[in-house]
Amino acid sequence: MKKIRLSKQLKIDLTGYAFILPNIIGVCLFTLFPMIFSLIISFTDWDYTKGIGNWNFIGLTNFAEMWQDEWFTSSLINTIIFAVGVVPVTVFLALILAVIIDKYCVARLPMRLALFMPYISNIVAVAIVWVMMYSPWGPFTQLVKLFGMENPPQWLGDTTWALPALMLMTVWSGVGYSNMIYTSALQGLPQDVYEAADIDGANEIQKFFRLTIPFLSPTTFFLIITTFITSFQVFAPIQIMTRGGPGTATNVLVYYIYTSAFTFYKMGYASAMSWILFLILFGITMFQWAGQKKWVSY
Amino acid sequence: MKNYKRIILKVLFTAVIGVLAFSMITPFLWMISASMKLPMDVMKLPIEWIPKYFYPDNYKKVWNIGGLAARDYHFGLAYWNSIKIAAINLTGSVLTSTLAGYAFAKIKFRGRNALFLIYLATMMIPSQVTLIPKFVMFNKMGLTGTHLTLILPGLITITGTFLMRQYFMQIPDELRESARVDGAHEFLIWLKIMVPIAKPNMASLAMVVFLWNWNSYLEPLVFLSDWRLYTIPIALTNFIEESVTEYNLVMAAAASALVPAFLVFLLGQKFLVKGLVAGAVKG
Amino acid sequence: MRKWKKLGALGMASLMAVSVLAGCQGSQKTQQAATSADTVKTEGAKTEGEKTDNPAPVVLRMWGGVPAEAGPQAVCDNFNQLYKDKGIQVEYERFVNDDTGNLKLETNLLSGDGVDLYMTYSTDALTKRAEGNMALDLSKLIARDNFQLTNYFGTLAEAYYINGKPYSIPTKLDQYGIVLNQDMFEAAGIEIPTEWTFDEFREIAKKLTHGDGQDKVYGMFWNSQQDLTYLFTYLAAQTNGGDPMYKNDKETSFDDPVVIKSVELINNMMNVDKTSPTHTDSVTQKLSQESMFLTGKSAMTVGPWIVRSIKDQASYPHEFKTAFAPYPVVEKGQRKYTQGGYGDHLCINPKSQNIDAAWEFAKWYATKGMLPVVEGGRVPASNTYNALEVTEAFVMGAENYLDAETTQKILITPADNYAVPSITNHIAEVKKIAVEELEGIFIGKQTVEDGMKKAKARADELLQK
Repeated sequence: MKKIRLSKQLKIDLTGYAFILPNIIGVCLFTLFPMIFSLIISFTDWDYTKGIGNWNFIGLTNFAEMWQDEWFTSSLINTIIFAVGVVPVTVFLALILAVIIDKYCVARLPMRLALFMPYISNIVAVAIVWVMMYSPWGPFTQLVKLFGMENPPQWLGDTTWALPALMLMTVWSGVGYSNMIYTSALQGLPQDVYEAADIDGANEIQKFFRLTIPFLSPTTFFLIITTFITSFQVFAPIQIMTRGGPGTATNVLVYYIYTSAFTFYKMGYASAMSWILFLILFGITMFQWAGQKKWVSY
Repeated sequence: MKNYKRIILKVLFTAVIGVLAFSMITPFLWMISASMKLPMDVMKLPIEWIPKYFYPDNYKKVWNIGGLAARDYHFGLAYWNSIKIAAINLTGSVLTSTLAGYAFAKIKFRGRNALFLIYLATMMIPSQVTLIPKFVMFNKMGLTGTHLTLILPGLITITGTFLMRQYFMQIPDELRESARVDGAHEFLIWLKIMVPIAKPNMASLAMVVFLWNWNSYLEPLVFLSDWRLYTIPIALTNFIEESVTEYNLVMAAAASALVPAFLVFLLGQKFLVKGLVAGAVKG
Repeated sequence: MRKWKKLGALGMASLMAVSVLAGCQGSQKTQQAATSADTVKTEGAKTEGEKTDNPAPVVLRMWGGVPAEAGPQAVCDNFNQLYKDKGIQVEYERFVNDDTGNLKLETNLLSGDGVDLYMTYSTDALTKRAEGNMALDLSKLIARDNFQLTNYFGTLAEAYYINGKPYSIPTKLDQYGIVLNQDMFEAAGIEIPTEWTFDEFREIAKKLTHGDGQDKVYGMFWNSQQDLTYLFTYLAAQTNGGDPMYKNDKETSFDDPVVIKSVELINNMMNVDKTSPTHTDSVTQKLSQESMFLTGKSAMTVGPWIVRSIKDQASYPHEFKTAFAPYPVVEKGQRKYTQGGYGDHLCINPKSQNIDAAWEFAKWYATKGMLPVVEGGRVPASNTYNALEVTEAFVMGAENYLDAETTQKILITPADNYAVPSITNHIAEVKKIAVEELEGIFIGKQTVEDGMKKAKARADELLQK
């Protein structure tokens, strides 16, 4: 009897592990092991062309020296500007659009689809189109000229405008996703509360600020965090549209990690920077967990 | 009176949002318009939104139909590669996620919670951290130069596993217990009972995974070094580098690259939206 | 029955594991092959399963940055014809010679034997590849076949040794100058210069500039879209020698008067005289030498590698004749070096399984096989070619579009005082710094003086680390 009971748990264990085995192998090989490897080499001066194992442990030197590296600091600042600019605009625009389309619009589906199209589009194709759109014969220049500007900015060729130009494109391509999440959250709002508000004579603006925004706050919080995280990892548009230029105007963190690793082959240094990226994202996520309790109100 | 005001508001907002929605798709319109133009017409100002001369030969050149192109851009091959990888990864990762998600939700094996915690923790690791080790690993294993560099890691998705687990958590235990009483094996329960009811969720996950794979850029950029292996995004990048000034061709290539994702989206819109929302609400 | 089911589940689950293992085994095989590559191999030793009498030929994979149709394909066809019976064939593959393209090449080199031979286009890349075990030390093969590089390429070949060893066969003579539209010069009554200073050059560019807006014709087009550093280094190299960016291993020369003057010249022409499209124009409109010079929108440009496009009348139809002039110098008497040297360094992948065959091809290419690429505008470095034949091939098909005399003089006739680079310390980073500060200068965000000062401070700090 005893023997059977023992083997019963064992059986459950075996079944359970059989189910997750492919998954576990994959996670170990392609996430856990690389993670550990990356952590180890981030403490080395490894140059890839010197071969595996041909490295010296230099302690925290990489982590200390990067703050003196202008490329790193400028990329960090650019990334922060990028994220801080993109996130609120995307999320706020998405919220407004979701509410208005939900309440006041006819032909809702085609509108939502139009908003969503950029999100599912291949970023490379989209980036190429935007390069052309920002060119002197593209619609932006023409639009600005229409408003009487003699010397329209050179968008991607201008140190001041290049980053905002990329930010605009990112908002464009990301707003559809946030909008969709909001739209589905809107379906779950408690209608009775709104009816009660109607009876109290609240107008639409009041209802929006007093009811809708608080009700949607968990969604808003989630969207802010995810958009922040994706903004911090921006790479493809930079690589395709500006290559970090002009000057260092659009040099962002992941682009610099990529350059360090695959142009300079400074694998140790690049790994160290990727862990800084992780720490930042981790910090943001922790902030979410802590903040969710404090700020989100139902 | 109030009704009247409401209608005006509706018309007004519909118009405003309509204009905005339309401006969202102008890049696509511009792209299609430019892809149908002669090279010199692309740079004309003011912009001709509807080209005076339709020049669909651009597409023939990109696809190397009728021998018009100066060289073969191997776009068809890139298409095939992208579809192949997306299909394999989609099948593989939906399968592994459903299996593991089920186990994490329903099978009380020892070490389950600890393992799941590790899973949750790794979800936060940005892919950039593991990129360099993977690059080194694949080089060492001699896998660079094969699609396995994209397929092997692509067969598993932690997020997918997480989503499927969340889904199976909602399924009442009674369903499983009654089957167990009948003596069915765990795998049979999974296959005969759980998979059928989870099908819509699996479809959602499949759509999301397809989209990830189809649009994935950084990893193929680093891992694929042979044009025979290029996926669509990389083929496109290469295309721009090789023919910088032929915007009409570049636009035709870009437009061609967008079609499959749009098709998938239109066909499986509901599933895709559900998949993305599931990730949002529960993530 | 239940057991069987469980087995099924396990079996499915281990599918993944198996495929991973398969990958590992595959890698072992390549490694073994790589280590045995040093031993001399008979052709076709590795082929199996072929039932014909002749063993299947060794197929070499060669990577180069030139589009196949601009010569390399014809080279390979010739070789394949000649070596049909000797069991060696070669396949050409093009990579785009930029960061991404070079990454692709290097990934291949570092990971295995996907490439047998390849072209390296700059000395800094050559150094990186030699030191990173991506290029084979050719000493042994040279000694074995008594193929002394100096016999074919003169003592200049030694300038391209890395740490005293040959890692490549130099195949091309890189010798550049200003490309100019002879018809426009004639119309303006200007003689084709054989010697000129920066000031004279600037004046001529002014004279050649006319028109407005869409119809504007620029005197000069500084092709700044791709790599900003080569513009000023070509100019400065003529006075300062082969390392125009370095004073020595630990110090850059961004404060050198000649370097500053060169940057000023470019900047003045773009932003003061407006005799050249600005850097911003180049970048945002993606201007190229083809779209500017060959369409008659500029009277001069920097890079004679445009020759292959000049010949391509189908893609770039034009009527005028192109001539060449040396790059200008700051003051009379400052021409101490000739900009140029050897390029197209042909390297062999040390991991290649067909090193002997690759070596065979490399020798043949450098000394005999290059005529088709000469037609594409590349001058062979080896002395085995007949000068007349080379000139003929060079202008072939473009007799009406290329001025024979200056082509011969500026691009083909070798000089004896090349500016040969020797310093490559952190060159990728130094270049990146230079590009960033130059961009700041050319788009008007900083003065030449400030920008170059900053470039020097940043780069020197890096070098002294």
